[in-house]
Amino acid sequence: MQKIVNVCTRVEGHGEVKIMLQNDEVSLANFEFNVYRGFEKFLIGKRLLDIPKFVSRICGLCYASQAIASCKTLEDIYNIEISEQSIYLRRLLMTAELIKSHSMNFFFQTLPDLLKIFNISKNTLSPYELIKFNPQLTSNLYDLIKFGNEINEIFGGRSVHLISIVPGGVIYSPSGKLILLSQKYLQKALTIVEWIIEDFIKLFGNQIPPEDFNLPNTICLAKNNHGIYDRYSGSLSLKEDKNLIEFEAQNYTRYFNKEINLRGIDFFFENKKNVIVGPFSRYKIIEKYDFDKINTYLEYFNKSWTNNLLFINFLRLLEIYIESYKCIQILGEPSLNVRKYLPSFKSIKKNEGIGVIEAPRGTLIHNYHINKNNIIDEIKLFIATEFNIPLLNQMITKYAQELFDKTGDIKLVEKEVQMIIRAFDPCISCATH
Amino acid sequence: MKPRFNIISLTSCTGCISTLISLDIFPQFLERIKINYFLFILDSDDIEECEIALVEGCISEETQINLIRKIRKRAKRVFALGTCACFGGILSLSNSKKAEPLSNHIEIDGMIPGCPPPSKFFGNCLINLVGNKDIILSEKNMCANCPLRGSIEINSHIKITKINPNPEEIRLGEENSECFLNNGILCLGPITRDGCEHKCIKMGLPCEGCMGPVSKDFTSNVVNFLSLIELSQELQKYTGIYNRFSKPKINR
Amino acid sequence: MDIYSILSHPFRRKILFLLEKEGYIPYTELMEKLNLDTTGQLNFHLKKIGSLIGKDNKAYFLTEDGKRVLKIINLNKRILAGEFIDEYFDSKRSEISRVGVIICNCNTEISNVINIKALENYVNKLKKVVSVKVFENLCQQKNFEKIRNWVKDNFINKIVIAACSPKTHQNLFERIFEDIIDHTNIEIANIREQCCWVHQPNDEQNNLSLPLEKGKLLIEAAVERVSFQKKIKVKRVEIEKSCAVLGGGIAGITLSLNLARAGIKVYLIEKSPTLGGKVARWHRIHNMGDCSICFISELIAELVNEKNIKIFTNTEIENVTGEVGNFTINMIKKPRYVDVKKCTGCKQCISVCSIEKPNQYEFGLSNRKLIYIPFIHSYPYAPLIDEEDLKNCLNCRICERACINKAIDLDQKEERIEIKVGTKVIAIGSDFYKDLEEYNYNPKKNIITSPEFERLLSSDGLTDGKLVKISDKKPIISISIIQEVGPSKYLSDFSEILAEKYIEDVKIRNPHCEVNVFYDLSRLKDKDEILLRSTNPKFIYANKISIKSSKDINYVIADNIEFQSDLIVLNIKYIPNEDLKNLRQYMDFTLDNNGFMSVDTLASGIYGVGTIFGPLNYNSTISTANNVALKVISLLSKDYLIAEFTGIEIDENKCGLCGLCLKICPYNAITIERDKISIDKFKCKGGGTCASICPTNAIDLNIDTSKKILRTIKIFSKFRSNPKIIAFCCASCGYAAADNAGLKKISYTPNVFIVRVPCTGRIDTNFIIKSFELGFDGVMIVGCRQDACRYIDGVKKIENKIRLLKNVIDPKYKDRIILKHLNAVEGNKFADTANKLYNNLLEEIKYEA
Repeated sequence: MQKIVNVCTRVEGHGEVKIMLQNDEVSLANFEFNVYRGFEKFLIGKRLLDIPKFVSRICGLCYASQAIASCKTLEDIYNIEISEQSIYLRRLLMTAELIKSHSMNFFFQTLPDLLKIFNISKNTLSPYELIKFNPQLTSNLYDLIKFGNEINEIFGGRSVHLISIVPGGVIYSPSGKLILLSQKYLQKALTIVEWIIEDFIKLFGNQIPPEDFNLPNTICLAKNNHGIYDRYSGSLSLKEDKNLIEFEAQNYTRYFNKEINLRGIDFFFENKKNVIVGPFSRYKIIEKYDFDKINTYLEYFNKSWTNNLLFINFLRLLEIYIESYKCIQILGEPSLNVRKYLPSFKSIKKNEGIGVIEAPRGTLIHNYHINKNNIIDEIKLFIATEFNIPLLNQMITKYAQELFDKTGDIKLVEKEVQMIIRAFDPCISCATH
Repeated sequence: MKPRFNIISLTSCTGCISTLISLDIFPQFLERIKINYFLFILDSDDIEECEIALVEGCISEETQINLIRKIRKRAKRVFALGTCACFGGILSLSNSKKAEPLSNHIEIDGMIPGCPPPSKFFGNCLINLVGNKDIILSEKNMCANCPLRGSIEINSHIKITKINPNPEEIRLGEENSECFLNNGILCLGPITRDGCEHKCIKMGLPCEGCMGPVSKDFTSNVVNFLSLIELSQELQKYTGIYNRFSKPKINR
Repeated sequence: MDIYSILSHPFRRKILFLLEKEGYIPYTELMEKLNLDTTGQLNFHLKKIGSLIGKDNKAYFLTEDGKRVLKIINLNKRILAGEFIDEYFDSKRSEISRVGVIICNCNTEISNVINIKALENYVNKLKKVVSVKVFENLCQQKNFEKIRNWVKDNFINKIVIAACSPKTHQNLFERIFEDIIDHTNIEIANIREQCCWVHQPNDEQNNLSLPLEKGKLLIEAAVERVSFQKKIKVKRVEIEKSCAVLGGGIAGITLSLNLARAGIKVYLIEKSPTLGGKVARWHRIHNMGDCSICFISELIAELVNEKNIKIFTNTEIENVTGEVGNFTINMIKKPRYVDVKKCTGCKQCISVCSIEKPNQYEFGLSNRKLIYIPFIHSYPYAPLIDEEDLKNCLNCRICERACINKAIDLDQKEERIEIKVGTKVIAIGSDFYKDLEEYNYNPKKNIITSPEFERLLSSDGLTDGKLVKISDKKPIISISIIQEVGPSKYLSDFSEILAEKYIEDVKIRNPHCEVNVFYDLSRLKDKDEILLRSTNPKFIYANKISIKSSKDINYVIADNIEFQSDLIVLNIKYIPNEDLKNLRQYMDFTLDNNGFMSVDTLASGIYGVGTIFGPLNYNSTISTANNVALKVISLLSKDYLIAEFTGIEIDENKCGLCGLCLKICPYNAITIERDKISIDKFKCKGGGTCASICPTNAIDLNIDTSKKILRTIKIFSKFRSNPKIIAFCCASCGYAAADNAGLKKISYTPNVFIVRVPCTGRIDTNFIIKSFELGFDGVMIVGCRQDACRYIDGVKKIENKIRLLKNVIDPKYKDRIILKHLNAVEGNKFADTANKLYNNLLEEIKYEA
């Protein structure tokens, strides 16, 4: 048996593809990471209200989602309702994070792959070559990243590990002027993303994506608000084909769970099907975004696309559009610009709390348990990428087997499987929490 | 010739690199340099010779030690990017993992501290690096330019009972005029390097020390500082203070 | 050829000086000026001088390089002469170091243990060392000239002396190099007390390679330290030819008289409203015929007539700043409510006053009026009202009206006085033991203390000197004296003499009165000593003494035998004066184990006399007062002193004004005003606690810099035997304790390395963590006893740090940090601690492996 390990490039964090060759056949391809940081372990014993600041540091891309999920968990434990203003602000910060994360992934990581897959470029383009390939697209994407970042800095205090997210809500500080500025940023973002969406349609709309990237039968998991796209509030849904189960977050153990100190999530589905989370699931579960314009964009893509991994790239762009649009409205809310104090965290009501958020990459669940002395004694973090890993491995194994059969070129296999990995947009920092 | 850059992540949250990419000067920065190695945005096989290596993240695995030595060997100048690379970072809270700064294993030519490095400061650092200059860090602590610094009372007795204000007590910069320490809230500003524009303090939260110490190691500074003030029994043994962003080399 | 080698020859220096003076000198003229006949020698040296001089039209001149070098040389000269030169500090080039090492064999004390030749070779190879010299005995006068020449010839400006402890001969060494080397540039490597004397070869273990290696590292570290020493600003302090004497008791009075007669201006400061102290209230002094009050009043009379003495009674010290030669003392003179100048002492006011309270000058045995004269021989002899009594005053102002001279002024306010003195003497005496409950102390029931007995015997006292019971004024026919009443920590030297005196006094009054003197052996720490000392058959030594009172009759029960006593006298001990603790805020000294002043620790310019050091009888008090007077006179006979500021330096470019240093400084020497930090160089004592906590390293000491200490740790860490221990010792007690182990030749493991710090409070947590990082297995911190820290509470400060550090450090290190409080004579404990830690570490390391 031969083991081939190759470092993944253009992914967030340090991950490796491991391919096992047995009798001239690929027996297994796995996406692995060697580092495991053990947040679930070392946060035990820490003070409850300090946790959000610590967990934010799990990931430099999903920082806001991590912190907000953690705050929601604490609010669950203390049974605290946060103000409407704080909810608006949390949505705003999550949107900014999403714009940043999705655009970075699209530009640096998946766009070069798309161009190569559809033979628009011969090689995988480097950022320098991308600029030359389409200067306007490039500068537009830089702008999107910048807008996301600016809004985070204005409402969060800095670009990542936002200061303003605290248990009980969001510390609100910007002036009216800065709100106007943010509105302008988002309006600009809306125009830009529209332009990019149209560009995307122009480039790929009439192409047929490779079948290798077709998703097998999976179970989609995402948060939604009664069938409406919502990453902050609502309940969780599972969907397989047409079967939809909606359930409250605290009942998650019926479907999946994890063991402390062991990596990965255990699913309790009879057919052993894998789960997918992220933009794809969010779309599949609600079936329709409540935006006419978006739905017309979707019509450009036929069936061959909608079950394909590469379609997620398009969905990401749509999400940027939807969320920017919604945030412009949030920024216009009069209740936003009122100084409100945060609720007090006096007494603990429950010994366990759950907080669920749709992070850019998918469902994120925080579950803390506290002991008699109100000290955390168990922490479970369900991270989007962790949900996706079994499916990802299933897909890359299949792909590697077929490609190696076809070409016998292991070097090629190493490179090509990474395209699938990138299409999933794995967040290794998160996964190695 | 454009300076060649290697940008490497060790054990980290990638927050420093995402900050780097989000900087408004990032496109211009890319233009003025040549990226040799930057896995986040570029396919590259191996770490090649370069003028400058920016390393994010702490060393938590044995294998990273060889990697970092290789990086050092192939770079004219190596800079630690972010608190993890400079001091160890958040993973220092862990008892079982090590979280070592680069300087435990290689010599570094400078650092860009912060979790994440403040954008303006980060941008200036990059401009300096591209211009083959050194990074200039403030030699003072946060108190130097703190908006809450008032007159210093020698005999005022400080008793710390909280690490953060309770959520309902959070007051914004302009509503809050007194030093956190006087209100019994632990602010690590005195032992933290100036340069972050006091963003936490302006938002009503005390400094948590992410810019790292000006001199000596983080733990020594915390111990020295706390030895001067009275700390509630509960906080005295709370590793969340002492090991927030760094732990002593001997505590591996 | 480097500049120092060029300059090392006096001939070449002469050439340079000549050129500097004259500008251009032709060759022949140069020969003339140097008194040379042949050209060879001159040619040789001119060649050696090389680039420092140039030649033009057959005349020599100084090049720019030469001028620069001369500037440095001249500056060095001026600095050493005590000039205050700012430009010197601007020129960084002058921070040169050329280290010479002297190894003193101390008459084979060193070579008995260490191979001196090997040591010399090692030191010679050190990069920073210019020259090494070995002496059999450095302290011999005949060597001094040799050494001075060696220093000059090699142009050495920094010296390491590897010899005995700095506590032993530092002053001598500094004197040898006076004028040629700044004393801050003399570093001593203590290879005798802390190496050779404690690592003597013994039968079991004859491994001498470790002491040798330790010796090498001790010297190497000293070389590093001295090479890092920067120039310290020096200044000339004009000596104020006056002396403050604190305390107007017998010691203070005697001393003041001595000084005043020698022409020194004396300020005699007394807290209470009268001079005289305790002795003024004694009946008489043993072996002297005079009653003590007559004797004291005679002294006071002399004092008052002395023009050079200014007396401040009812006056307390508020603050002291400055340094030897020039102290400023701020005092508060409390109101007396009587104008002493107008008062004639007619006592009219006293007779009309209607409020009474117990008289503290009669130990509360009798009452006095609110306005009163302490005792009949008080000085000044004028009534007063205690400030705190004013609240009990009816404000009837009858006294005001009764006073013919209008001397009474009830609105008198306290007065602030500032004086400048060259030196000060503490003579505030001691207190009496007060905790007498278990002795059934009750004067009204005839159980009294020895001072009260003195008052009973005094003719001006309660019973006019008659031997009668206090309770019913009936004659006393039996007296029991119980000796050594008080803390068992120490013995009162003169309690026996006192008992003898009492017996004598009683017998004079009533020859038939029975007097028994008891010693309670169970309360004595050192029974043997007391038994050996006392062969006095008149005394009764019992294992257990108790006092019983029934029906107004008192009994002393000594080992079950009852002694009926009309009067029981508790001969109480002296205990340390409460005010000593307050004084430590302004003056530099520490307390000894019993809480008395520790004589060795007094800083320069401060002296102490009398019972502040412990119980002392009258004669000894007088003789110490005379001794101190001599010292003060000799100090004040100089016109000026060259003083260095050895405290801290603040780098404003690094200071963030966080104010942590303000919180830690025990002397309030640092201030921040209008965003500017400043150090009061007179208040700063150089303990360095501020430097230990400064988060930005903006503060550092001028001598014991962090860099020096860290470098020393690093060099010591090269020691190849494990486990090794680093011991941070405070200069006052810890280091002395280590030396004491050497003096007693108590052997301990050579794996202990001593780092001297001014105070344990100066130890930065970083030093401890760094030590472990660099491979030390144990850290010992040896400081003063908690209440005796030279810098007030430095030990407390390191204790806090260690307590917190133990919370965060890996648990295995918790028992490897040891804090010990020792005093200067506890060398055995130092050795014990070191050995114990070493053995524990040895076990642990074995276990770990």
